[in-house]
Amino acid sequence: MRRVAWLALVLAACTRPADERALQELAIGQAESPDARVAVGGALAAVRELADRRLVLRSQAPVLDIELVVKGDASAGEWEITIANALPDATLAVNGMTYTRDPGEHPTLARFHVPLTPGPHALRLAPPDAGIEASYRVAAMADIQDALPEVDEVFAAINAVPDLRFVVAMGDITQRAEVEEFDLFDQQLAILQIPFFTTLGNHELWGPPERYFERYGRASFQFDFKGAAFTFVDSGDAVLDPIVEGWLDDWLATARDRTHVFLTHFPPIDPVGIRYGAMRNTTDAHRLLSRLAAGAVDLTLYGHIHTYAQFENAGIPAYISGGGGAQPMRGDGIDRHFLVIELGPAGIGPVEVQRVDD
Amino acid sequence: MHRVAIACALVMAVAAPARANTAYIPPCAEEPETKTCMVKVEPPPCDPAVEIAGTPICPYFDTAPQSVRVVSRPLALAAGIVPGIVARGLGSYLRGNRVAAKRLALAGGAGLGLMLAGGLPLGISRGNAWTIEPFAPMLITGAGLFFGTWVFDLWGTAGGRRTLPEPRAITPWSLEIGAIGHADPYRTRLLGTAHARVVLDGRFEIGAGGWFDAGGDGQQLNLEANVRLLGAAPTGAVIADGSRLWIRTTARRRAEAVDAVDIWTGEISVAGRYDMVRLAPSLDGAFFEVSTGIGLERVTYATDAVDHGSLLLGGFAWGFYLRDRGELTAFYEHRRDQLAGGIWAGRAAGFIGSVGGTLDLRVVGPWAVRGEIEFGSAWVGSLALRYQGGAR
Repeated sequence: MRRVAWLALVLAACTRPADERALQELAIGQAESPDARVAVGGALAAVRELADRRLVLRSQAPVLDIELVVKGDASAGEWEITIANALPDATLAVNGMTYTRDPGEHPTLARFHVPLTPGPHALRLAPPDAGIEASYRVAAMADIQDALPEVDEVFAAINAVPDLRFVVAMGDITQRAEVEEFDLFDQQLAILQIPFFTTLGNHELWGPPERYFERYGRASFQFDFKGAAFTFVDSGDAVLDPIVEGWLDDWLATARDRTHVFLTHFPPIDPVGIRYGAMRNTTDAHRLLSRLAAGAVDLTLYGHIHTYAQFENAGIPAYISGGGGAQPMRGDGIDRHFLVIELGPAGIGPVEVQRVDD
Repeated sequence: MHRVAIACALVMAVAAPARANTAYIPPCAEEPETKTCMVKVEPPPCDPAVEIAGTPICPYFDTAPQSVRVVSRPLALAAGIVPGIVARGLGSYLRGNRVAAKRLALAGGAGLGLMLAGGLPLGISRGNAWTIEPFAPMLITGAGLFFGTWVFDLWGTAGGRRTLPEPRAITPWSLEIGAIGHADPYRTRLLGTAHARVVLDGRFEIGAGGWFDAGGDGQQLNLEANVRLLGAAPTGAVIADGSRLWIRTTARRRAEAVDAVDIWTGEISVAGRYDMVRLAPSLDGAFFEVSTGIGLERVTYATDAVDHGSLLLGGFAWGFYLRDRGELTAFYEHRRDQLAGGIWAGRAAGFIGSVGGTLDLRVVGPWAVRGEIEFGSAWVGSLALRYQGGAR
């Protein structure tokens, strides 16, 4: 009987490769040291360091709400709080008092020196206009992979587009999830003048997923900015794990009355059906689309296919933008590119394709 | 490069005659199992012969009887497994079945060629929509043929024809009821199935069937119309050659209440079976199946939104006759819209379909059972009881 149960467990695991990865995400966004304890609301940041009155976060959202508990008098005093991948105009409010960042740093690196007493502190990283519901523009891209050495050209092209607040990405930032590739990606990000919020793709799973989680945070998460919600989900194994589906149901309910953008790496359905460049079970794909439609999602963004495609799925406008440079599709009339999306509380505005190569 | 050299040396060591060994190799009194001996090999009869300028030309490579050294079955089988995975037909060659060996090698080469001919355009274009047809079906068919020749060589080397295979023609009609167990990461359920089919005028087959969720959450109905182009008439009788070619059309409706989708599919495909005895007598009892086709899909969501899409149908199977009692097959299915979906293939996630096996067995008289297991993104196991017409 024990053998049968073990066999059933092994067989079940073969159909559910992402469950452990989903559970790993639950630990992201929080940390504890002898000095302090930190928890980031919505787990929207990776905690890279918490020690010796230093807190280093890597943000996955334009606005962060952080609870920092300073343990004891020995840990009180001036704290250095560094948040990477922040909006250039973001400031830090600590218990209602606003602090400006140290000058001379990269536009997306926000470093603050803040006096903290023992006990809990509410920190909020946000730009001045975070609470104003109004239209703004973002860039969207995916599939960098083996084009990492040249992605600075894509980032330079993004920099040249005025008024972009941040970049949202649909995964496959590396080819083999090697440490050296992640290092190179971080180096190339220095070219980009605005933050880069991303989920993971199947290529990030060529190595241990911890390499992604420790650097960038969660792969499935949601944030809200100026009246529009962005929901990223992990589809790296060409399906959504039931745990992620459960999170998605909550996020769909939360964002139902807002402009809502859904991002994931694998398109549920390939617009060229016979190609099967999509999720590996169309039943699961239809179920996902059914959820998105019922949740009144306004826009879906995908990667994985190294081309540009505009279509509808379940009545929702959809774009595949796999133009980060990875082995571009031949004969499709487009090479490296990204999308520029205008959105706001009133809905989705124009979505334009920006070509990097003429 | 050194790995290639080692592999070649291994092949030569197994296949090369023992020139330095001058020991007497006895003739085989009967087919050897554990001994190496000499056997006289007669080429198969020329049926039908190809005539060129009135001279019959047999499509074989060795036209004269010859004595060949036959390696023991276990050793030949081991060679057929490795390095036979590279040198197709090696097991058959070592067992003295030179015709089978050469034809398997050619067929394997053809399969590899099809894989390259299909895969290269897909790879070079990075999946451009214009390269999917016909190159994806070529890749699938080539893979089935390339890997199948390895499997069939092992069958022939192991002496599979000693099981006295007797293929049967398709039965003229059948009624089937059964159950399907469906387990995926989201749900586990038991489905009831039913299917009925009848062949009209010996060539046209119509059928209807489907499955339903006992809890009422899902159901599927299929209507089928098929045409037999080649192959034995559907009598259910034992036949010499189970090879056949059919055109299949299906209209399908699937509704899933929990998923809130209603899916209509129309599809057409060509499906064929090739009995390997046509390739060489030593391969009797094995068969290769391949199918390819296309479908159109209409999906309606609870919000009344509608999606239209296309499906690439295709797959292959390697099968073996179980005397006159039934068939055992292992298969690959490329479509993703069935219960099983596609395999989690790691780095190739999304591009691979499902795999499985089927056992179809006559029990007594008109009664038969069919069991199937399929694995993709879900486990699907089915068991059905069938009552069928035709010869007993």
